[in-house]
Amino acid sequence: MSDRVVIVGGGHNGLVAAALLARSGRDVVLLEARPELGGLAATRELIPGHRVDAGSHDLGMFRRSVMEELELGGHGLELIEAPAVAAVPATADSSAVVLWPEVARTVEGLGQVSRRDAAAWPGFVFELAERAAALEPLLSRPLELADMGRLLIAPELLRTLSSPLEESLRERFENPSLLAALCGVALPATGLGPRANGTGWPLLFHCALGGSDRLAPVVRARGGAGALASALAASAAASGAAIRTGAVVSRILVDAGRVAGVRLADGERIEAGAVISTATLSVTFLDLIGAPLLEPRFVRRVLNVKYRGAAARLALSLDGLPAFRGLERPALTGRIVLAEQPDDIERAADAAKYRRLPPRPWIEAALPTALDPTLAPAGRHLLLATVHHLPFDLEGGWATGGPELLARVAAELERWAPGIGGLVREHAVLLPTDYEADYGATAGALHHGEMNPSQSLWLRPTASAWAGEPLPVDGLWLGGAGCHPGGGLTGLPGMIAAVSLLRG
Amino acid sequence: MLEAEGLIGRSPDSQAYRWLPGAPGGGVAGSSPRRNGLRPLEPLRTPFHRRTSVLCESDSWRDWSGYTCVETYEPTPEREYWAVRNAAALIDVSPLFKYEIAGPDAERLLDRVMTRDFSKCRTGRVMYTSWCNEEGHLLQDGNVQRLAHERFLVSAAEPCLRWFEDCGWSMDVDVRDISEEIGVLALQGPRARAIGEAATTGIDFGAMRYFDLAAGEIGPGAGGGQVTVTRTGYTGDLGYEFWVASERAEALWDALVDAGRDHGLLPAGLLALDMARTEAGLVLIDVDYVSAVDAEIEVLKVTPAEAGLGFTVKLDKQADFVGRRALELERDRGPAWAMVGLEVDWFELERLWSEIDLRPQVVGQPACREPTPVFAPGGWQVGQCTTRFFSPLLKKYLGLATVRGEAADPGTELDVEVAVGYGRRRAKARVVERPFFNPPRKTAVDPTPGVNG
Repeated sequence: MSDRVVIVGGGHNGLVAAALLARSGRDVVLLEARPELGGLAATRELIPGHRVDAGSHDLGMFRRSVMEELELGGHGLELIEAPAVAAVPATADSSAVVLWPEVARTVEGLGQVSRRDAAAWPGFVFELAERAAALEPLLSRPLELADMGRLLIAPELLRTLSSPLEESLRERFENPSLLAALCGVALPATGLGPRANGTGWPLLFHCALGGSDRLAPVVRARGGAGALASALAASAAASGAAIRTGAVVSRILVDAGRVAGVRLADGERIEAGAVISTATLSVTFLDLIGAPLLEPRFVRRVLNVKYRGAAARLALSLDGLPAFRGLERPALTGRIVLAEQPDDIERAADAAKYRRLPPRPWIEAALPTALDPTLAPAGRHLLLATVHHLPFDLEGGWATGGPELLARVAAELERWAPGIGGLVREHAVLLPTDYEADYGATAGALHHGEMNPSQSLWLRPTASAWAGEPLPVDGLWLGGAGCHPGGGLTGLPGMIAAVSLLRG
Repeated sequence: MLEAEGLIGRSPDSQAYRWLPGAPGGGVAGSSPRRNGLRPLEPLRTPFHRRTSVLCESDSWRDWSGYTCVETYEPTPEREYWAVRNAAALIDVSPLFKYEIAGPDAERLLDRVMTRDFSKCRTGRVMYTSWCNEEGHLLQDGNVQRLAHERFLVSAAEPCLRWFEDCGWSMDVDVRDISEEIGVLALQGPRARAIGEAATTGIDFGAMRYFDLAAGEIGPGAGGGQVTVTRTGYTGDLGYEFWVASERAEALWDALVDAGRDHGLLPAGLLALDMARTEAGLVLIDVDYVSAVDAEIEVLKVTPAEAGLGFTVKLDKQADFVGRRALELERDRGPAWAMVGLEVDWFELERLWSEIDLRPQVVGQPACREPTPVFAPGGWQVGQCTTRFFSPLLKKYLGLATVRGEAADPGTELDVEVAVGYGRRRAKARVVERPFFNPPRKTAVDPTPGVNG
């Protein structure tokens, strides 16, 4: 049996696993289908001369200890912390709301829109941090049954994570923009509106991994999220890992219930004693291994994974900074949530349920050039507008739905930042179908499976087990966002896979 | 011939499954209320209902998978039973679930699901088979017709569309629930061949061997519509089953009834069928064994061998089928249970009943499905008797029982609990070979009435 470990997928999780394993002296081959590394955290030249992040670009949740262990700083990674966490421009009902990592600064701003909300903010942040801290230890290792005790002794934590997010937030706050900002931080790529049960979970998850004693800040890599992938690849290569791009894995080879290696689309066969797949559960089991090799009840379990909540990204090259109502430049460095109230997100989720486009899409916008001007040519700014809560199986299809969505997004942007249309010089689009075709994101789901309590913690597969049972193929490990703790730029699924494999 | 103009239209879309997800554990989706796992508000009617309902003098009906079915046309089932054995009986078995499995991977799917070897099932043959879950526990038994190289029809007592979906995911095969589209009539009894021949055109009944299938036309003349005939049945007698598109169902019924006039053909209900199948030693799901889908506790689940269907398990077949590993382990250590025939000692029974001054109140009764315990003589319980009845033909009180492996050898003396008035008594019984009744005509080549038993 080969000692080699093959890693399928060169997203950030695959790279973390490759770097950690190579550092421990293992013979590692990482195979990435695309020409560039990074997967859903890649940076691409979607617009000539611009470095456009294709997916995640907030490194706030990335495990710092992994960065240090892998000496990513030495391999060219430079982090920039955004001054602002999230902002909602001014609306007819409210002045602009900006959330900062610093409690006092946020309170000062909130005082302008709601004295009650300003007074409630410190307690909220404290409580959130406390609950997140209770959760954090559960997110960075395979869970054991005994860990359930941690949740059971924290009834408030359980209640918050299983409740509708909006309901929990309304226990403290009244300003619609503030509520929208918090929902906009929590709900991207979930598929669930803020009135759905279980939407408390994503906010806690976000804070558990991204914050400590303050609201999780937005952190970006200089040069775009792809710089993280580059640094990880450099670290892995320095430890001896072989990293191949343009290598499309068509099959994980199984011999008598054990992985034997992988076969590439061009017919090349690579022997391996272990395979870490960072592809989605659907791709890993149904496409790469193949349903006929698996027990039907396991196939059913794979088929039951929910992938709702697709997203589309519009990248705009602008002649200058757009004028979002009521937001000064520092406020433009974090997430810009374009929703007037939680209902705007709820209605988008409603439309998606019925396979329709949201009449008025809510947008998670970012201006990465506000922090890092090197991402666009001099004088230009880059705006990334991400539309969440989209149906993957859009009624009528994306061929006609894509242009229609763009028109609606353009109209929304104009409403929030009057005059922005006149600044647009070039644009590029990634639709849900592109995310599936380009990145193997099943149903365009950026988190490789919806992040809700029914698919989290013990209910999300971990590196070597799922629902308390070992994976059906020996020598197969899971290391993608589809397994514990889940999606987002955390590096944790990859880290857990590597650590589990090393422990045997 | 079967390929070209089959009974069932082949879907052009063989790439994708076309059903909607149904209830777990074998629920299926579709247009019919029974398919949602809900009890229909209105009883469903088989495509023969307008014919059967006017004949049902007894007004005795039973629910079968949501369909209203005749229990017995006459007030007692005895004449209908005798028609099966001495002439011929026509039984509406349309409530069976029917699935068409078609496409390049059709054989592959069946070989993955079924315990039998479908690489050995030729076009124009029917195979009786079991299918199991991952633990080798029996889910169902049923017949599979090979209508064409890439087209099969599975008939089963319980829904299983979802199971086919889970087992066949990513295979190039199209599975369709065609239960509503097809009516099925069982023509069973020594005169069945003669009646079948007179009622159809284009089928060489003489050439049809046991478990063969053939396609032809309804009626003596042309234009009656297509019918597929299988030499199968659930009575252990010479017999055929006729599979017809629902809209031609009444034409088929009429043709068979016309042809049966000179042969003593009677319509028969489910009670007569139950008597005949017990005599033939054929097990019935939900009565003699519990499907692993419905078993609420582990101990109720059985393997095919434990349900008397070990002959359907082909561990030497090439394909890896669901449950194979568990069944290989069972082969090595031996099944824990066995399905056996029991013959209750008649003199013992008479003696027990005479204590309350009656003769045994079992003669002339339909088969009883109340499970009762079976004991080692004077000792502990070793199993249960799930069906028993007095055979009018063999003049014996017979039962089907599941017993511990060590109590399964023919000739083993056991005790079985019997109800004697209000009392519960133990009667002596002996393990005997199944089937209890097995006439040569059932499997005879070119069967001729009066010649093959």
